[in-house]
Amino acid sequence: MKKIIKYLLIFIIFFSLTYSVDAKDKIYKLETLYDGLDMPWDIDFLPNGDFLVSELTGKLKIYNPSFKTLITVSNVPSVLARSQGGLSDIELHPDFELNNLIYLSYSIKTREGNTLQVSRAKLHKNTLIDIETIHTAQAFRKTSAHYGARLLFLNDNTLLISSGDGFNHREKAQELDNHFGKILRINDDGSIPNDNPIFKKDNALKDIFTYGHRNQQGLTKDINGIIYSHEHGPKGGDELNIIYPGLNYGWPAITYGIDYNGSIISPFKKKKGMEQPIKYWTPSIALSDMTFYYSNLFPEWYGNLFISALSSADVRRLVIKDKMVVSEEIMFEEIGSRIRSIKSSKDGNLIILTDGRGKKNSGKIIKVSPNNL
Amino acid sequence: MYLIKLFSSLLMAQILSAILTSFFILFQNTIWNILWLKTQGFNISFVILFQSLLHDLRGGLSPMLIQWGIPINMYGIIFIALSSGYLLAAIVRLIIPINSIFLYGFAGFASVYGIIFFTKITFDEIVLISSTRELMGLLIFCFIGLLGGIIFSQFKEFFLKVLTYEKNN
Repeated sequence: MKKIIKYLLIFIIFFSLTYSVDAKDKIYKLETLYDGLDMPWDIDFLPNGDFLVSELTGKLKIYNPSFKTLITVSNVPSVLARSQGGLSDIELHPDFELNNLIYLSYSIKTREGNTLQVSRAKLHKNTLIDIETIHTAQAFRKTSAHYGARLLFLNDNTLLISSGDGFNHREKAQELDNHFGKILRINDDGSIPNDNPIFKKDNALKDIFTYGHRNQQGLTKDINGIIYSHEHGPKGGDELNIIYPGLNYGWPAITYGIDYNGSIISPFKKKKGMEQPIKYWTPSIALSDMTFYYSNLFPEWYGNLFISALSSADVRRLVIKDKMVVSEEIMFEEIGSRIRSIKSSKDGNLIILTDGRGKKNSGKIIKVSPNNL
Repeated sequence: MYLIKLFSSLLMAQILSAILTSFFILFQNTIWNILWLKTQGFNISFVILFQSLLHDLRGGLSPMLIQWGIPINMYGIIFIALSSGYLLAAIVRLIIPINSIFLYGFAGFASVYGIIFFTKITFDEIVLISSTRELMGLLIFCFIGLLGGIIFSQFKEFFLKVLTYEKNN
């Protein structure tokens, strides 16, 4: 018996030491703040520190990190929650503290087919009021796939909307008379800015900012206002692009990926007049969201771009210098789940959403904070 | 012995039909993509066309679907679809004596259409074979299936004759 206890003690001490060495190695710790979200898609932060979380199934929720409570916001527009469609991105107006406006992207079913829609509303005591649809994408399709659906406010208070290629309509990403495979730019009330790029085609839609995209689920800007977008490739060819107005990003005429049936979509990877990504991933890791990190909680991460991924179930930390990716680190693999969104909170922590795909109410909010706090 | 020879001839005809149908379907897909690229101002040389076709024939071996945990490639899907179609046609022919070429041709047509139909149901209207997203492409695709059915009908007779040749003489 004594021998068993002795060996047991040695075993415990050995593993405690191993664990502490491991824990010391990591500069961060992961903490699950909430477990039980139903396919969460995006997260944003209210000025009072609460989190706004969208669920693809059509619910908008407010999470209070102090009390760890979750409240469902009422009067959210009804959405088409099917396949990849549903309630998607949340974006607070830059002057939210003055106007309480939030912007939501979601898929809807119309007579012509289903498509992406963007609405704005005032958040008033856990209810949305004064709901106003400000954009309906001219990208009607039968599938519930490839909506894009990311929103981003630029420094001039105009709003970018990523609109995906609708899967079956990829060739339309090269045409300018529709919203398939485009990034759009509108004013905060839905009107079209006067300084949008002008395309030399008569039928070009005036809200198009860039074209030639596939399914762009990442849209962010750095501290200098430079816009970054990432998009899912097909089999291989996930891309990270720097977005400049009026440019063509090539899909599906040039691509680093191939089709799901193994055939070539295009044998070309480059063409004059079509932009190259600053990084691409083959095989695909299924890029889902991204955020720049500007806080001193993790000084070694300052200015880095964090990209979440679904199929690889990790986060990529990219060091970018002179608009080029100089290094990539795979992080947070220990979460072991599809990562749907990543955001940098106002207090400097990273907040991660896992979508728990396949299992109802198994999405999590995970906080990444310094290990020494 | 005759049954074994009959089964062998059916199997050989089925394999030949599936291989030729797959080849033409993949060829159609390659040409479809290349033609679109031509409209976008790309210069397509014969070498690029040939390399693309070779790539697509090889690419057809990579898994396209995972069903019950089993990865299935393009060739597998076409083989399964045609087999099901021909089996149904054979049962119909036992009941109603319909012309073999017509019946198996129709079975081939319906089988490859079935691939598009069932993938659309399974994947929420997604059409995985890009050349069939437009009506003309879909018609050509189904016509290839029809040809596959006719090939099957002709070659099953041919192989059966070859295998039973010794017996008849």
